[in-house]
Parts: sequence; C-alpha cells; structure tokens
Amino acid sequence: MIADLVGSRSVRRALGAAGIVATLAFSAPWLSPYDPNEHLDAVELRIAGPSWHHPLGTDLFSRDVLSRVLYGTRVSLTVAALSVLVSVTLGTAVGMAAWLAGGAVDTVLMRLVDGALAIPRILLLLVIAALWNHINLAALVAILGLTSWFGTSRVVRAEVLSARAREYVAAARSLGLSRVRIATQHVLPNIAGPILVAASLGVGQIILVEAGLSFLGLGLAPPTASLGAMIQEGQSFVYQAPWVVVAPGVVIVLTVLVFSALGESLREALDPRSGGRPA
Amino acid sequence: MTAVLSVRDLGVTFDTPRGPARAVDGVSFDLHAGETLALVGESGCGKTVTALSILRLLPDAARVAPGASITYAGADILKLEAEPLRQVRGAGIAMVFQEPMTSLNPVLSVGWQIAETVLAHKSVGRATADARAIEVMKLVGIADAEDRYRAYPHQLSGGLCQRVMIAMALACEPKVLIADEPTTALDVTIQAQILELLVDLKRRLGLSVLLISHDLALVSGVADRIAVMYGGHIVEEAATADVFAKPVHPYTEGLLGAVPRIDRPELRLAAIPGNVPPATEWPAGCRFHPRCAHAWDRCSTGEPGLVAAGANRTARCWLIEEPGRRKSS
Repeated sequence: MIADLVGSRSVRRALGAAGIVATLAFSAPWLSPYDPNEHLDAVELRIAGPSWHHPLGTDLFSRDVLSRVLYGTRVSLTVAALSVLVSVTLGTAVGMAAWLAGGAVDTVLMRLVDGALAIPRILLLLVIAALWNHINLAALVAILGLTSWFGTSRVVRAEVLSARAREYVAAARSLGLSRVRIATQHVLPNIAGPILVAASLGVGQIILVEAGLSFLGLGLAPPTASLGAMIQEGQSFVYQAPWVVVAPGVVIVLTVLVFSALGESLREALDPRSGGRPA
Repeated sequence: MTAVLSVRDLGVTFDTPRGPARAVDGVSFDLHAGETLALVGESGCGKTVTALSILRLLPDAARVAPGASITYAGADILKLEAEPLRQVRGAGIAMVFQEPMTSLNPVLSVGWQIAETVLAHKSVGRATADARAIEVMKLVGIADAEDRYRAYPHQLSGGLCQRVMIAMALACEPKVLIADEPTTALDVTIQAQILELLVDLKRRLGLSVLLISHDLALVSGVADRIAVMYGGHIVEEAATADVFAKPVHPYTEGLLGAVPRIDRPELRLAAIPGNVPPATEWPAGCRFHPRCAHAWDRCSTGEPGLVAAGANRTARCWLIEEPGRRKSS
C-alpha cells in the first residue's frame, strides 16, 4: 500500500511540497537572519518596509518579519503535527473501542461524539482557552488535540464497520483469532489509508484553527511568534505596513493548501474507483 | 466408526421484513473420523448456513433453534463460552471459504497471515510461528514457500490463494476441516488440483472433511457420503455410490439428471423446473412438491419425515411409504 501511495504522482508532488514547508520551518534557527523576538532598533526600524536587510520588512516593535514568519511557521506546524497526533490516536482508539465493545457502549460513545460534533469548534475552544491562564505549547496541543478527534473517531468506526464485514475478518474469526487480535492485526492496517488522509487534512485544519485562536488573542502567550498572532499584531496598522500582515497570511494559506492537497491526493490514491491503486 | 462432529436438530431462523426465514430446519448428521461428507444442494438450500453455525459464525440476526446441539470433542459448541469457542475455531475445526481472494487480508503478506493463526493458538514466538507457516505452505504444495511467505494475496493466483487458505486452516492441526465451496471461484483445471490436494491432505493428516458444494459431479470423486439438502432440510443421505446408483428422493434424482455424463452422451440434461422458494415461504407439506414430478395430494398436505430408505441411507419422501406412486421416466 505504501508503495502504491508513493507511486502516485500527485502524492509525490504534495509530499515534496509539504517537505519543503516543513524543512523551511524547522530550519528556522539557521535560516532566520535575526532573533525573532529581538527589538532591533525602536526608532529606525519601526514598521520599516521591505529592504535588502529585512526582505519582509519589520513590525511595530522593530522585529524582523522574515525571522518571525519562519519561527511562527515552525510553531504552527509543531502545534498542528502534535495536535493531529493526539487527535488521530484518540480518534482511532475510540473508534476501534466502540466497535470492539459493541452494543450499548458503541451507541453511547457515538452519540457522545455526535453531541460533541454539534458544538461549534471555535466556541468550545474559546471556552477552554478562556479558562486557561497561561497557554504554553503543551497546553495548546492538548486543547486542540482533545477537541478535534470526534470526526476521526467517526471515520475510523465507519471504516471498521465496513472492514468487519469483509470475508477475511470472517476467515480470521473462523480460525480462532480473538477480537482484539483481529482489530489490531487485520483491521487496523486496512484502515491506515483513511486515517492518513484524516491526519493530513487535519494538519491544515489545525493550522487554521490555531491561527484563528491566536488572532483572537487566545493562542500562545506573546512574544512567541505564531502566524495568527502576527496577523493580530499587524491588523491595527495594516494600511501603513501591509507586509506585517500579508507575509504570515500568505504562509498560512500556502501551508494549509499544501496539506489539504496532500490529504486529497492520498484520498484519491487510496480510492480504488479512481484507479490509483491496483486491485 | 466414531462421530467426530455430531449435528442434531439444527435449525436457524433469520428475522426478515417479510417474516421469519427458516434457512435451516431440523438438520442432523454425523461426521465420522477420517471421512468426507459432502453437503450438496442448490443456492439457498441452507448449506452455508449449516457450515457457519458449526463454528458459530452466523450474523447476529440469526436465531438458532433452542433444541439444537453441535457436539465436538464431548462439548456442545452452541453452548461454549467465548474462550473455549475460540480454541475450537482453528485448532479443532477449521474452515476454508469460497473466495480465496477476498478471504485473505489484502494488506498483509500471506505467510504472516498463516503465522497469525499459529500465534492465536500456541504460545510460541514469532520465529517458531513463521517456521510453522512455511512448513504448512510446503505441506499444501506451495513451491518456494520461503519466498511466497512475503507475497501479498494480489500477487498470487486464485489457486495459490486457495492453497494459502488451506495452509492457514491446517496450521494448528484441526481434526475437522469445513470446506465451503472451496473450488467454486477457481478455474476448472485448478479445481481438480485443489480437490486432489484436499483428498491427499485428508488421508495424510487423518482429517474429517465436511465438503459443501452445489456440484454433485464434483463431490462424487471425493466424498464418502453425500447429504443432499433442499429447503433447509436434509432430504437424502447415503453413501456416494448408493446415491449415484439409485437416488431415492426425486430432488436427488433431478440433481443427478442435471449432471452431464460422459458415458451417456445421447442423454439430454434434465432441468428441475422452477426455483427454490425463498426461506420465508416454504410450501406446506413436502417443501419440494411444487417442483416434483411425482407429487400427489399427500405431498402438499403432510410433511414427510427423514426415514430409513434401505441400509445406511435415509430420505425425506412419501415415496418410501408408497413406492407404487413413483412415475417411471
């Protein structure tokens, strides 16, 4: 299956693009020309336009925007990757558990998930974030991860239900494999594809949600550079210094596009009807 | 001969929107040590449901009649707790399914899947399980077993996949092998090879085989005894030679008439008129009477029981009591 995925041209392209974004973000300490939090020159470099020394200009506190965008992308990607890890693990575990336990447990779990899905995500996040005093990276990952697994658990349960009806599961049962063994050894590898799709689409979504939270002032505490926080800081003087807002905005759009494209190309490569995968 | 597996009064009902469907009704048979018993019948006659009930693999919607019992190794399978049941599956009674391609997990290598079965039943390490997997792959005649261990199902032919399924079934040395239409999905030449393999394995390992098939001609060379099913009943059970020499039940007669005979090429193949009615609407009386050439009024009112019809054979037909009514063909 992995070979099929890598064999798909659109998957390779999207993977390459995602790789470039991730490499740039995680090389921030080496690529950045300045310390992202350093106030360089409060008089001369206060909202200075793009120049040779500061390709993306500087912000209100005379900090280099390019450095802040690089560090901000690193923060956003880290938060997104870790949150997705939490949410996908949790979602998969709950989806599988719902099937394994079956009956009333399944029904109760899935109705709870339905209920959670009915609450607007941003409202839920606002309430949680408002109750938190000082949000550090771990707290943000926990908040985002713990509120975004509902959809994944539905997907996993649906996939498990369809995998369960396959003949190989009946064959495995007939040969005396236990339910847990069938779930982990036979069903899980078969639903790895949809989980992968959910994960890479999730990265894009979480970047957006995190940017939104930061924009509302509920993200990581300043002066930590984050893409959403940069837009929030720059909005009040967007007419005098558009570069402060445009740079992180463009990065958000590009990053989200890249990970959505990755998710879509994976979905397509995994869909037998699209002909992307040999039968 | 001792019975390895005894099925008594097995009835299975499915609740459907059109009322209860009695898919299997009052089925009893014994599978003796070292013999091959074939369950033969058209689609919808209850063969597969019977096979699935033996390993309790029926869907949740199925209800098994309260008086039924399926005895294996001194215990009633229908009353087993989860763990002993799991032990019987695979290590006592193993099953081979109709579609080898879909019965194997597409994303796992075939050797790994065989080893999985070993690990499910024996407390051995991965290496021992792998060695056993390769050993059974050789047993079922897979060449280059070490290389094929790593192959995925889509890389193997249908015949090879079915050999892998049989290897999986035999990995934990079961006493009974249930083969549900094991050759139906395969090419004719491969069918013969797989049947030969089953016969050979049965002899070498002392297995008892319950062979399920719609093809009377196919089982004739393999089965020691044949039980013909119609409408959820066993309508005739006898040694294979007796069935072919002189079928008692008109349905068996009809099935035999539909088998092409190389020694009588001038004979037209006879079709049995009509279809098997749905299991929700069995006709009153004998379930076969609407399609039976010999039927008279008694057949539409009273349901015949399974009675002796000679030495070591039984059938479910009023003609046994009133042989004079048999119309000569």
